[in-house]
Amino acid sequence: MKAVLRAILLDYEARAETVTTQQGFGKQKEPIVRLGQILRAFRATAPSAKFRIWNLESPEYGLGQNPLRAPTVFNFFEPSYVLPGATADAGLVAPEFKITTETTAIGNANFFRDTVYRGVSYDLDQVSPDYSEILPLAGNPTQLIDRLNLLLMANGMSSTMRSILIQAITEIPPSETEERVKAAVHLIATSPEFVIQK
Amino acid sequence: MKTRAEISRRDFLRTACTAVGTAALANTVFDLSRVAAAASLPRFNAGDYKALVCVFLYGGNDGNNTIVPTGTLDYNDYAAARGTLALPRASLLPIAPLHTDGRSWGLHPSLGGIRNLFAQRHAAILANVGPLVAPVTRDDYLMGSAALPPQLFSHSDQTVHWMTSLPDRPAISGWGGRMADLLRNLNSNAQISMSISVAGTNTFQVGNLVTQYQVSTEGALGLDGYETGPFADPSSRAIKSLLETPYSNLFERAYAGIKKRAIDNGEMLGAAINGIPPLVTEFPDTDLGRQLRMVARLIGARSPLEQQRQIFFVATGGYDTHGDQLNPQAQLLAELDQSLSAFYQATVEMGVAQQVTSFTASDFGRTYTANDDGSDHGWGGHHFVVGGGVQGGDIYGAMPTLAIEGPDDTEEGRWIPTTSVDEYSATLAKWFGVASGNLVDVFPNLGRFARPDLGFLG
Repeated sequence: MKAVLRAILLDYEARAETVTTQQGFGKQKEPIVRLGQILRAFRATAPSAKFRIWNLESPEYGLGQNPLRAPTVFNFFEPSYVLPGATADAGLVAPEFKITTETTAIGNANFFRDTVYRGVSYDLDQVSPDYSEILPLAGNPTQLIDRLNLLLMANGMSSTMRSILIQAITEIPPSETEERVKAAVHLIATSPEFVIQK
Repeated sequence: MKTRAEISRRDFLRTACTAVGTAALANTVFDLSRVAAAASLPRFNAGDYKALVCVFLYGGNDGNNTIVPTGTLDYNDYAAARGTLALPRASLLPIAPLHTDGRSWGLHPSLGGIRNLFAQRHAAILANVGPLVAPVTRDDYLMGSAALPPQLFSHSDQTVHWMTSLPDRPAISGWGGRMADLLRNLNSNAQISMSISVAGTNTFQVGNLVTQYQVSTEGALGLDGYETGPFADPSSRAIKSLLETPYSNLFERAYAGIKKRAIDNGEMLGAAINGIPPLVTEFPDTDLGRQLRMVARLIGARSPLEQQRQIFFVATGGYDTHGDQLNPQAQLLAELDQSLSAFYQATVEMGVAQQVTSFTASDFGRTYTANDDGSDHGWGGHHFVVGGGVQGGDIYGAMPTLAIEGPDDTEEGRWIPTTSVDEYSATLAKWFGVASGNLVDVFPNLGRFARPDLGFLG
């Protein structure tokens, strides 16, 4: 048992930060995982105190992935899926990209926008993120983005992305604190750097 | 400290990644850009439009109740063999194919529209088609000496074999994708893919160069709240910047690429399909009906989109009728019949009936014998090809001898295909515009089979 733990925790890829800069490192966080991450990061709850989240399978209006309800016994995607293009040329598989289509890329983005701004589900069952912890940072875009970088991206945000976000938030009037916070979370949640886990 | 001996697969992949862009996988079957460059391709000609529509029936449609023998003796044998699954003889829709093998046939009662198209010679039946590595006899099969498609009777594997038409190689591309790679220069507008799916990602349309484009039954999606132009809101401008950032991480690059393409293409597509007059033909409000209606609208927009060749993929599921087959299959075939009939009418309305060919495909047929009131996974199955260019009103290929332990049976009435997916698909591909000399590039195994052109498309 100790040997197993040691093998996992001391694995090169688990310890060496340099791997995160390798072009082929990482994988896409599938939509269900991303939704869970956003909801948990902000301790989302519903007035009904229940988590009544219904079918999320619509690629246009949902996640394109229905938790616990894969369309077939073969799960949402096969582990051997190869995405044509640069990743295929590099000999990489990209299973999660099997369900990443033009439709789901837009559908996901719209779904996450709704989730960030309102929440999932409706009325008393609406599971909404709670931004009270970071709302005080809204007046300082740099602090806000840095805090979200830690909360959502394990400080992995590139300097390019950080600049783009700080610029965007700064352009939102300071009095619109809620909009600043939600826009920041929305931009991160739908960004390629967040979608890909490194 | 890692020694040389510990160079691992991970290290190999890491080194391989840094060489991205300097060495593409060289595999002549899939490197069709060389073939395309060598061939002399015509320039864009709107008068020479063609579209192929793959209608995939997920789950394995029971061909044995789709086309049923109607002669007295044959029908009695059928009823005896199928037991609870046997359709009443009086309910069958008789057809009169131009050529018969002595037997007479009727279609499932739900297929009235296809029966009419068959009578008008716009629909053809393809008998007992299935994936084959090479032709197989029952003796070979029973002796275990035949080369067979891997994982026979497995949904996922057989579906992939239908879509790749290359069962004895790893599934890297589909035959639709390979066709698109070869013919892509026929479409002046390279931004819109030749391969459009209304039913999600599929292996059929995986190509090396042409990426399939998914749309929904409502069209391309737009990004909510996204504005463009210099006065767009800060979030929209940030989204645009984030998508235009050059990412070194391959997965980030891939994701950003897909999303950006989706936005750009969505706008283009929306403008094109909204710019054409709405169709008069009414489509059934079913899943397949909505999908085929979108395909019809996309065909209608072929001129503004400058598409001379289009490959569409639609699909519906529920055909895996292990238990309670009769009612579900009746409803499914009704949906298929009504949608395909409406779609054909739409092509007539648009004046492209001869230029659009639809064809069905499915994981497999089903066992001739019943399992309680359902049937199990089979192998060869019967299919339909519909279109104005089809030499219809006939049965192509050989209907199997409908006998358990007969010459076409593996066991329980799983028919050994008498026509390969290769031959079926190659006939469609040739009509679509793949030159005879290039067919073997799209179908490397084609030479193993007797009839690379089955003749149902002239």
